[in-house]
Parts: sequence; C-alpha cells; structure tokens
Amino acid sequence: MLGVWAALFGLQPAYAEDDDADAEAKEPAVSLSFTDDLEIRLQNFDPSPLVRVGGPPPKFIEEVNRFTGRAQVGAWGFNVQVDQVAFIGLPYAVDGVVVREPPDLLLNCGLERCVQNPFGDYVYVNPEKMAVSYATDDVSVTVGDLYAAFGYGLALNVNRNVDIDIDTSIQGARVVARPGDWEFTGLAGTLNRQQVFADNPNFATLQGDLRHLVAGARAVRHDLGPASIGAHAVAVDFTQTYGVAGALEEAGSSVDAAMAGGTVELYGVAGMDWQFEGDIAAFPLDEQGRNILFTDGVPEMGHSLYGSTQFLIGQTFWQIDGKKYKNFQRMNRPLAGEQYQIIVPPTLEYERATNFNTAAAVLSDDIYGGRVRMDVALGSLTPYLSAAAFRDSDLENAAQHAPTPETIVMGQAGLQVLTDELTVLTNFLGRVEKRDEDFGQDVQLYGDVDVKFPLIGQSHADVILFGQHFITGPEATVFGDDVVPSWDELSLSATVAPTHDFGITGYFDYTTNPFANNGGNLGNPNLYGAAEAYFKPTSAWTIRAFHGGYAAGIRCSGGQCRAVPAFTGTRLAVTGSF
Amino acid sequence: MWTRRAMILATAGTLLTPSLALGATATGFTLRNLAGDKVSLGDFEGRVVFLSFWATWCGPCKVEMRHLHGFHEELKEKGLTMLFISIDDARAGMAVKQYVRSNKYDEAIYLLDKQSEVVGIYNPKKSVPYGVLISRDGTIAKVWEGFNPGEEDSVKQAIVTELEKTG
Repeated sequence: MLGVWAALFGLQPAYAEDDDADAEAKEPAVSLSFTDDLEIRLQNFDPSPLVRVGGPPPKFIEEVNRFTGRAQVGAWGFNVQVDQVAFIGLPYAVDGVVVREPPDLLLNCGLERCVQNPFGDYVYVNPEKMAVSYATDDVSVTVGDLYAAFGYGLALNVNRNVDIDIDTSIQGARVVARPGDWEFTGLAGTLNRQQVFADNPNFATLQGDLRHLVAGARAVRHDLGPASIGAHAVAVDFTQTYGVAGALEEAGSSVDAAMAGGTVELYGVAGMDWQFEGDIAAFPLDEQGRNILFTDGVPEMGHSLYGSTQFLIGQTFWQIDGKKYKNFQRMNRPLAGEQYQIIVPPTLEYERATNFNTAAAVLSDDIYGGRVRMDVALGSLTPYLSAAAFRDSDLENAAQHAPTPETIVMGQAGLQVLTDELTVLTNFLGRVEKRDEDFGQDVQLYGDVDVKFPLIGQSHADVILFGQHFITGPEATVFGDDVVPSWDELSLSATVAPTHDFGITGYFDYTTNPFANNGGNLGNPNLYGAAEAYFKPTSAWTIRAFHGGYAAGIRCSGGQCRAVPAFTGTRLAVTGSF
Repeated sequence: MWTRRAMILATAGTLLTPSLALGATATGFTLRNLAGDKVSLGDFEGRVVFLSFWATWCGPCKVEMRHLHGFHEELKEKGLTMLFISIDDARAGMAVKQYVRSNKYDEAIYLLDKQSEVVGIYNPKKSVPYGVLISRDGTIAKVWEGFNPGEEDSVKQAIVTELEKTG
C-alpha cells in the first residue's frame, strides 16, 4: 500500500531523520494514515414500517465498508474516502422501500463516480470525499471535497455531521487567506452528498447527487478594537437533473437564491461578549427554481437574524440568544429529500429531545424567539437552568403537523458531575406547543441520564437512560386525518467493561410512539431488546457484534434532523487504523 | 437507542494508533480562539503540544477533558500546551464558550474550526474524542481515538515522556 501511494504521488515513503541540522534541506516528511470501517448487517425485517404497506417483511444482508486515507507531504495533503455497499438477498428494503429486483445502482451516474465492478449490480463502490489541500499558517487552498461555513451558519453551513452520519461537502475549490488582521474566504463548487451511510440502511437513491451549484465569499476584519466585523455573500443555483450534467445545465442560468449578510462580534464590551448576524435573501428565480422553492407560487424576500450575548455574574455564566428566520429554511427544501442542508442556523432547541412531533420547529421557515441559560460553576458540579420561547408560523414545513401557528415554551434543567470516580450527565426538559384557535396543545416531558462509574480493578460501568412522555391535546397533532394519541418512550442501555479491551452492553426500548413503533422484537409490540459486545484484539482494531432490535426515531444534531429506521437483526462491525 | 448506541460506541473506541503518521512533521495551521485572537501551531515551537478534538455533544470528550485540564495545569510549566479544537459546526462558538466558562476551563486554549480546515488535516474521519501529541521538535508522537475511563494514565505517561525527552 505504501508503495502505491508513493508511486501515485511521486514521493519517497521515508521520513527524514531528526538529526539533520539543516531543516530546509530535509526531505519532505511523508505521513500516511488509513482507517477502515466494515459493517455487515443481517436485517430481519423492514426497517421503516411507516412507508411499507403489506407484503411479507423482507430479509436481507447489507455489507458496508468505508475506507479513508490521507497522505501529508509537508504543507500538502491528500484525502480520499472510498465507500462500498453490497446487498445480498431479495427482497431487501432500503429506506422503507421494498426492493424485489436487483437495483440499478448505476442509474443516472453519468460522468460521476460510479465504478463498474466485477460483482454486478449488487455492489456499489464510490470514491467519495477526495481533496488536495495546501495549508500554511496564513493560507489554505483546497481543491476537491471541502466544507464551508460563514458566520453562524445562517447563509452557509455545509459540514460533516458525524453525530448523525450526514456528510455533505462542496466539491470545488476554496481559498482562505489571513493577511494580518484580515481573513478572506472564496469558494465555488457543487454539493456532494455522501451516498453510503454507516449507521443507516442505505438509500435506493444511490444513483447520484443533484449537484446544486454554490459559490460564496466572505471577508472578516479582526481586532478592530474589541470587535470583529465580517461580510459575506452566497449564491445558489438548484438543479433537478442528476449528476454533473445537471450542474452543467445550470451553470449558464441565473442563480435561484442569493444571500448577503454580515456579522459583528464584540469581546468584553460592558463585561459581555456579543455576536450578531443578519442576512437577507433574494430569489431571482428561473422557472425551475421557482417550482422548487416556492410551492405557494409567491416569491418573497427572506431575512435571517441572530444575536447572542454571554457574561459572568459571580459563579454563574449566562447566555442569552435570540433569532428570527423568515423564508430562509426554504433554501434547504430542494435538499431535504436527500438528507442534507445548505444552511444550518442556530436552533436554540435541546436537539437530543427532538422527536417526530416537535421536529418542525427545528426546521421552521418562519420562526422567532429567544432563550436564556444560566450555568453555575460549583467545583465538580455544574448545574444549569434554561428557558426559551418561540413563535412558529410555518405551516408549509413537511414536518409540521399543526393546522395553525403555535407558541412554544420550554424549560430545561441539567447537571454535570465530573469527579475521579463518577461521571453524571443529565438533562430534563418540559416543552409546550400551544396552537392558535382551538387546536389545543402538545406537552413533552423529557429526561436523559448518563452515569459512568468504576467497578472492580480496571472495570467500569456506563448506564444511560432516556425517557419521555408526550401528551397530545384533543385536536393538537393532526397527521393526515388521524389524531395522534399521547405516547411514551423509555430507553435504557447498560455497559459493563471488565477491561479496556472488552465490554458488553444491554439495550432495552419501550415505545408507544406511533411514528416510531415497528412491532417490537420481544414478543410485545412495544418492546425492543438487544445486546452488543466489543473486543479489541489489538490496539488499532475493534470488533463489535450486535444482536437484537431497536425502535425507529428521529435524531437531531447540529441543526439537522434525520429519521433513523428501526432495526431487528444482527450486525458485525470491524473498525481499524493502519 | 440509536443515540445510545452512538454514545456507547464512542466510549468503546480506544487508543487506535495510525502508526504510519507517527514521526511526521505536524502541519501548521491558524485558527481563532474564543476571544477572537489568532492562534497558530507555530506559536508553540519548542513546546510539547496536545491537540484535543472534541464536540459539545460528546459525553466521553467531557470526561477526558477534565483529565486533560488537570494535566495541563500540572505540566504547563514544564512545556506542555493544550489546544482544544471543537469540531462543532459554525453555530458552536457560543456553546463552546458556555461549556468552557461554566467549567472554568479558561486557562486552556480553545479554538474554533468552523470550516473543518484543521480537522481535515489531523482527523478527517472527524472522530471524537481524538488526541494528537506533538513533540518539541514538531513531529507527531502519538495519536488517540476514543476514550475509556482509566486510560488517562497512559495519556499522561505519554505526555510526560515527551516532556522529558528534551526538556
């Protein structure tokens, strides 16, 4: 492998000795690192009962492998990620769609990266994240797959979200320069969604990306007294044609959305830190863009405002945030079906508690409100209190189940305990969504606790408990023609690790949530159970084996949400670095 | 369940060692700290530097960070510098500041990598927690991925070994 890389880059795979007195005369240091994640899933039934109607539950095997490699030669870096997935057995289900014929995985690949392989249509191979970069203290240049964010993500925030395994990049070029107190960023490219998901059964839409075009520029002046001031602009051109062909078609057309805005950061002013961002959006749409962005056919300007301040009072640390977003989340509408977003503004929500009933507020296109949070530093104890209120008037959001605007009020409390012997991380939330008119209200009561503590010798235990009780009002949550009843969820995991190299985890789920329930795997339609063991045969490799089932759910993190389908079956995973 | 699995598995990852990267010269970078000041890796030439990649949503990170702050407090006079680099996205500046201030971690250097420039160099898989120990001569001495309670002793030993090499 070393030789291949060396030949590829024309390098000597040798590291110069440290005792070379003249640093300038050193051979460039070559650093190569690789990781590989392999997972084999024996799926016993349909992962998404919300979509499948009738028919026998499919059983199939899915094998997923992700290889990442990086070479570093002085200031130069080379990255590649190769994703591969294979399906064995029919019918199988991908994202809730039962597939009874071999998939046409090469459909619509065009000039893209689908690689023909000797295993036929059941195997998909995709060189995914590839980049060449040059980085010094003052300049970095990246060509290939890159991530980008301006300000606080109101106008552009394309990043890898490892918490929910969504990895969208911009495939193009980016230059960042930092002359003196200035910082300039310029970028252009097309969106590139990761096709293969390590923690999720994979999509039927492996045929490629809708390569929407993105370009942006930002300038920031730091150290203007206590202030940093920035300005930026972003242009987006959406396509409805898969592959590079779609991008080429759009390249000559007018942009569909243009955003411009600025940021102000103030440090230590009146004993407080301040951050502000304001953006406006215009939509000089062509017909295609109008169809995508404005389902109501009424083009509007958009605006997005965010502000935050933090300050200390004695042993307490305070943070106050406010937001107002109007006609900005629609920038994500063409992307929603593909599981990524181009803008990800601050939500001010406790995202871990978000569920199918409350996700609409995270993705709202017409919302304003604020939050106050106070943390108290008491040595190894850090409790906090938080209160927030929002007004959500977005009724077009696909996640919105309410027929009228609503007022959202929530209170939250938590505690962190970090000592040599004990770790406790816990959060509790009470949340009310009050509909206008006579449509009642939803009430959510949520709590999570994570406790780590030592056992005998090297051994330790980790217990994690989640629970929520969701009360729907008499006409509060309408999904289609059905009123969703109140529901409960409880999840428990307990890990015992006798050594650093070996551990066993037991999982237990109870749910009556109609959005999440898949029928259970323990003889009761509401109960799920599973066990998992991990073992590290060497310091560089980990083997995990999972057997059992878990319920579906929605997972929000980093301002993004993702539906996670239920699973019942067996998983074997091998992860390593070399 | 899925959330719990992610958290458990994050805890389970331990001391992976991409050995081919060891001994290579650490790539330079510049980021901004929570006060908006420019911080470059080159500012710490001749010191042992520990890069700690973490996230505000990462439980194992918070456990490890408590130990790392203790090491920093104990060993900074001997030449140890700790750079905590958040892999959170662009919205995270306030959340990072809230966590640092409320835990009184102000002594250490916290950096924001909003465009994933540095994480793309040192930790393209974006694992957390993820640690990189850089020797006084600017070469990568050791890499950690994941954290299990009890492993802090081996982390500290590696740091002390590097400090004693040319200190």
